[in-house]
Amino acid sequence: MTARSALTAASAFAIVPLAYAAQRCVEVGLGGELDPALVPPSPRIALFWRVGVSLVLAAGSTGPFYRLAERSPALALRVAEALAALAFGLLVAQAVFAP
Amino acid sequence: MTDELVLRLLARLHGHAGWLAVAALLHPVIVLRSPMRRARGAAWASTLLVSAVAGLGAGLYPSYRALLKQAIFQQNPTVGWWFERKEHLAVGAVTFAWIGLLCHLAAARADSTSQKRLAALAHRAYAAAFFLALSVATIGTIAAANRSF
Repeated sequence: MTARSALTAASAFAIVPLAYAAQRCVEVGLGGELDPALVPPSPRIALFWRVGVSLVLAAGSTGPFYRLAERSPALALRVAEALAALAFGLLVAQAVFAP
Repeated sequence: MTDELVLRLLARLHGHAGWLAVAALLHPVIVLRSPMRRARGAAWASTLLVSAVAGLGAGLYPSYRALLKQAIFQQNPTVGWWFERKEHLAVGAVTFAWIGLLCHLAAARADSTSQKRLAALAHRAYAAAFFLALSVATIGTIAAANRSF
C-alpha cells in the first residue's frame, strides 16, 4: 500500500462516522425515531441503513481524495485531519445532545 | 441448542470481546505516542479485534431489535436510549481504529515531512477509537445488566 492510497483510504474512512453522525443529526432535527416503547420494532433497520449510506458516500469520495493526495499530499493530509476531527466532534455531539 | 441459548452465548462473547478490544486499543494509544515508533502488529490486532466485535454486534442487532428493544424501552427508557447511543459510538470506534491503522501504515512510506503528521494523526485516531470503545463497552455493560437475551 502506498502512502497516497493509505491517505486516501484514511480520508474516506473519516467520511463514514461523519456521514453517520450527520444523518443522526438530521433525524433528530426531523423529530427522531417514533417512541420505541409504544410502537412495535420497525422492519426498517435504521442502523444498517445509516451505515450503508455512509459507506456509499465514503466509496464515492475515494476518487476525489486520491486525486487530491496525488496533487498535494500536504493538503490531503490536512483535509484528512480536519475530516477526522469533525467526525469525532459530531459523533460526540450527537451522543450528548440527541436521544 | 435453542436459538435463545445461542443468542445468549453470542451476546456474552460480544460483551467480553468488547472489553478485550478496549484493552487492545489502549496498546497503540500508548506505543504510538512516539512518532518514530512502529507497532504494526498492535495496530492490526486491535483494529481487527474491534472490527470483529462490531461485526458480531451488528449480527446480534436484528435480534435485539426484534426481541429486546421494545421491552427495554417500556421498562427503562433511559437504558434504551443509552443503548442507541452505544451503537452510534461503536460505528465511530471501528472507523477511527481503521483511520489509525491506515495512517500508521502510510507513515512508514511517507516522506519525512508527512511522516510526523501521519504518525500524530494515527495516534489521535487510536485515542479517539479507544475513548469511543470505552464508552461503548461501559454502556453495553450497564444495558446488559439491565436486560439481556
